[in-house]
Amino acid sequence: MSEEQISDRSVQQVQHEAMSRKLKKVPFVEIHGGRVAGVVSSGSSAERVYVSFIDAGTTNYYCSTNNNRPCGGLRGGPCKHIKSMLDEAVIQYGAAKVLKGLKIEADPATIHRGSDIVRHLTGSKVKEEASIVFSRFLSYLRQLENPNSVMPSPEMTWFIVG
Amino acid sequence: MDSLGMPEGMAEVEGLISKIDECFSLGFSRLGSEQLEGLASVARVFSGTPLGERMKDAVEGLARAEFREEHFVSLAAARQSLQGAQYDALLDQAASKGVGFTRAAVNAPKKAEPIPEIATWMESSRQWLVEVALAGFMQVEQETVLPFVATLERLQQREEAARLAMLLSGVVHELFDCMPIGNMVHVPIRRWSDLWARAMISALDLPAYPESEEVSGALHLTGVDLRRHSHAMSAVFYGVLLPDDGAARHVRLTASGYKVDVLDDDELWQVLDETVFDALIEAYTRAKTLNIKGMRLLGSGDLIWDSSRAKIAAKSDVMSVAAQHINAPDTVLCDAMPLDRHPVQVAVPVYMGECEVKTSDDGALMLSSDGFSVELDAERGFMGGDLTKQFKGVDDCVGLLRYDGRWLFQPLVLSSKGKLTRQGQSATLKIKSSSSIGILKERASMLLRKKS
Repeated sequence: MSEEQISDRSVQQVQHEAMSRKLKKVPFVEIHGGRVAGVVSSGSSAERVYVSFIDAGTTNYYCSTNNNRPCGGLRGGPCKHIKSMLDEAVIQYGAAKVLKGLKIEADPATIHRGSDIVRHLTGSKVKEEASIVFSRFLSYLRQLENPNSVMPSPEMTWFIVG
Repeated sequence: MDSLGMPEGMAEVEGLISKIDECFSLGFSRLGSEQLEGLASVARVFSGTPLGERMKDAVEGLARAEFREEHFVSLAAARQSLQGAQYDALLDQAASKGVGFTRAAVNAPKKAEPIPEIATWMESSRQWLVEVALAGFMQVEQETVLPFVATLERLQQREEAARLAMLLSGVVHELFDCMPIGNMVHVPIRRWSDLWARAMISALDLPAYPESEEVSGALHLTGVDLRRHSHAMSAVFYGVLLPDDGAARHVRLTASGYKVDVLDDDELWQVLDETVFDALIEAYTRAKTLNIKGMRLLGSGDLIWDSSRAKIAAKSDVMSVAAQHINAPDTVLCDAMPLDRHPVQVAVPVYMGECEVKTSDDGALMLSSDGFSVELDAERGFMGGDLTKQFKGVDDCVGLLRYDGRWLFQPLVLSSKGKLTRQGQSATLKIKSSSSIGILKERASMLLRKKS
């Protein structure tokens, strides 16, 4: 079957399939609005979560708790939460997408885990408000609260991956 | 070669649709004389039909750069009616080539009553679709799509708008995912024009459904067509209903829910409400018959699931029911509703006894049974990976006859020495605290508590 034939099809796998991954450590990571951002569980307290992000281009980064306290691990470079977030971003989206999202020029084949990306970060710690990431996480979760339906849904016939 | 062949006139209609799609690719704000002449030739085909005047106005208007919503609605309707004609021709072709079923027509339903606040979001959706059409798919950027997300989130919260919202969620995420579109190796213009036209039609009125009747009998579920995109899943259960009186009928049951992108194939079932769908999933995964009493069956062959009208009964011998009824000439197969008729909605259940898979000269995998032969749909195989391997040792199977530029077979259930392989075989709706959905909900509650 030629690629020409596939591109002509109505029903085909166009969307990138997000890879499923373990969520306990990093419940949420996304490439959105010019940054890679995530919500990371604290290693020491079940009550605490961190929000980490890296801006595209500048690769400036920040990490703080859900109470807006700066992460203690940020001295001298990105903390372990940022590394974990990148680990999971690479699993979920693939190295190429993460590099593109951060506007980092590097060969995706050389990126296997978060620390491989950390090596390419040239930015520094820049304090930024974390609430936008929390609210994006909550609106992502709100999808699960939206109502089910038992009615026919012929429009979904076009979608076969995701 | 498949055994079904192409209905007459198919290529001509394809040509007309391509002329419309070229404009969607380029963008209606930058059409040249070639595209405008193409649209005019489409309009001429409709002259003398109910769409004739509207199409003439639309094409003349677009040529004068009058980018009114009604012109775009006319284009969507024209495109859809061309594809509706294809749908009809394809079903007739399948029947004439000996695929057994009795076609049952369905009438257009009455329009649904509008709900004012949803109507406003539907209007916003149409405006956005016009903007996309003006820009052209090749030029769609973040800025074209981002402002629409707020409207979409409102639509998602209303069950009455679920169909439009799920469709638009899929479109929006797919466009984001493909950006920058100019860098794509293959831009799926046919697909995106389909989705655009469908969305425009769905954003006009809330969905209306044809007349229904209450049916009772034994329902044997054969397989599931699991449709999904990153933010929604919709499982269609295909089955044979042996009614207490009358001929066997092909029926479908739909269960849909919103989801998040990190769920794997097993976990995505958990977005379905356990209290509503438990018996359906149990009957399917354990291959039990469902005795149904007074369940609503739409004229389109869609049973509307209601757990209070279903009872799990004895083991269902899925393959022998399939062999006996699926392609019996008097088994009733309802047409899609008039607005839904489109080649992608061709889904004729087929039983393939003593089947075998061979690779054709041009590299397609052909499934054959009893002199009948059709190409396996590699895009829709439900088990991933190598289809040849999956069909190894398979004695008989059931699937859907599909059409997407050519005839295709979508497998639903494979049987090997009495053992069934089907999608969602191990589905369970119970949410464990260790599952993705359980973890996400727990983490979110932590955030909400700490923030307050």
